[in-house]
Amino acid sequence: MSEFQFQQALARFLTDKCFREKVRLRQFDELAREEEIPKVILQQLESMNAERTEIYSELLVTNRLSKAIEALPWSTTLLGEHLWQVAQAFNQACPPIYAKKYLEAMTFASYLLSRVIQESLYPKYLEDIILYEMNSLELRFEFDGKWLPDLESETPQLLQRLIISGNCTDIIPHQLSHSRVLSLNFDIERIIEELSQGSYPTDVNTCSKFILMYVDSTGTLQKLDINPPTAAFLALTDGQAPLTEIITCLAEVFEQNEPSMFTVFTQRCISLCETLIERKIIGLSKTHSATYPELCLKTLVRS
Amino acid sequence: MQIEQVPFLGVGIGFREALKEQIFSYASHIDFLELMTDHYIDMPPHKHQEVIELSEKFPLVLHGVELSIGSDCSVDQDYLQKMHQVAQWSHAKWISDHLCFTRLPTLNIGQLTPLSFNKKIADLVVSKTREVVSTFQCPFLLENISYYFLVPPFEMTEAEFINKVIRESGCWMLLDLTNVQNNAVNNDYDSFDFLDKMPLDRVVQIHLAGGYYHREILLDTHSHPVPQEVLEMLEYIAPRLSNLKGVLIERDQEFPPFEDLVEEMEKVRKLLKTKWFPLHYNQQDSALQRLAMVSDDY
Repeated sequence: MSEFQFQQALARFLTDKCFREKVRLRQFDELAREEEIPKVILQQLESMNAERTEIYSELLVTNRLSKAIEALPWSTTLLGEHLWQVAQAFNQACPPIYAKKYLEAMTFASYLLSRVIQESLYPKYLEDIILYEMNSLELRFEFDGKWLPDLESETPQLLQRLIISGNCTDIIPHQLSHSRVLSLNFDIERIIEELSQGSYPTDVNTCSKFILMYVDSTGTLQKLDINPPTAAFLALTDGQAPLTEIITCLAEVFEQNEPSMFTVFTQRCISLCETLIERKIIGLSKTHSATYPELCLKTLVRS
Repeated sequence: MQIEQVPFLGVGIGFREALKEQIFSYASHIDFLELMTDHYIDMPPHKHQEVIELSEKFPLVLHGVELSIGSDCSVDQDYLQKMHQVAQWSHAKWISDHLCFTRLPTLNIGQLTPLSFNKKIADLVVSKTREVVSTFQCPFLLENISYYFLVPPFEMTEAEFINKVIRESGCWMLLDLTNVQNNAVNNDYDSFDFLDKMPLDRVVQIHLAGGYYHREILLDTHSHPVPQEVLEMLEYIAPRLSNLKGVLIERDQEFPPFEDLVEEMEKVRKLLKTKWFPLHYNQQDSALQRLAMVSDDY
């Protein structure tokens, strides 16, 4: 029997309530077979002070929950009286593997999202709140401060050409990974404001909303309400389609494809490009995103 | 680096984001800051900037929780490398972690978990600690943890275990007096008797904190003022702390007005002035001079 084996079993004993209960039932032979843990280890675990190990294990759950509460304050507030039960179920379903608070919180948020979608115990806008907080968290912690050098050098020249000549046939916009668009069904900023004042919103109507989240050059997370055409534009800046195709597609969707309207629409799109480039939300290149493996489109667009 | 070359820093507090503004406002009352090493590992660039900013204003030491020196597996070289990086950014005077295990390759318990007090585990920890010590230029310290249950098989007392690890590994000790009090209460032994058995000549840093009772267990929550009993323990051992370099107040939550933390630090300085300083007056550094000037009337 190695110390590693014992420590593995001990770690599981302290973090897994079901396993702990089985050990306490002292059915060592059966458990040793099922779990492939030496009987002597199971006996050692059972010999430890039951009350104290139970309190310690409860504190582990509290500790995990506190990380979730700190990182996802509104999601956890909305769970109300269900919070502790959800935390215990989370602890059982998702054994702790991360040291970082942020990763623990993201794991909890993913678990919560799956439950919210399946169950109807919670307010209908909770899903939006979780997505909002998850994305805020991910952008704050995953942005490494690096702006892709190739796009930095190509973008100004291509933008200049775009503004002067309107020629966008070989220009491909790429949405940068430290930004994303959320498509939500509720006015969550109003909901959060009510929650922060201590009230629990009950009469909340659906309200289609797009929020652009991005990390600016100082590393600060910014959030902007954007309109459907801007959201649609960003959804198409996947580093694959040239700008001409994007503009043509959007013009059709938004019924701006009559020649006189199309010219104005094209100019608006170019102007939007300029704004998004200024905020480093998109970059421009002449090549497809296959050559930029670090880039990926992280847009959550709901059907 | 020889321990004699490490300056006496004085009395400090743990750096916490929520206290940042006040820490800078009250900088003249804080001799040094302790940073949580893990708050600066694998984090966005602004955390690196924060370390640099803090190191320009305060002497810094590092304190981690993820080394998991007691795990029966090899030292995590990737993590060790990252500790070195943070040590470099911060110009840390020393680095510490805990005498426990917190993780294994497949599971991160997320809490300081006690070790079995036996020779096999002690030898394992000694071997790993020697490896860690050899990689750092500055002193490396291990801290005694708070625990609520004994982990079998135990062949030694906690005091014997700590002594063996500290003395045979070549590392130094971060003696957490609050953890000594917690363990004495929770495991029914005499804290002063325990302190008499500690390798006090190897103690470089002291931690002080306050907790509370939860279901008759005294928890190490760093949420309350340092209890008088803990200060009495410091008073008791102070004359024997021949290599003491710093005393730190730990406060992680339920933050009081910052003036209360300043008052706590001053109380510790006064205690050190009367019980520790007279034996170490020949060291000429600014923190000791400041200690000499602490008012007897405070």
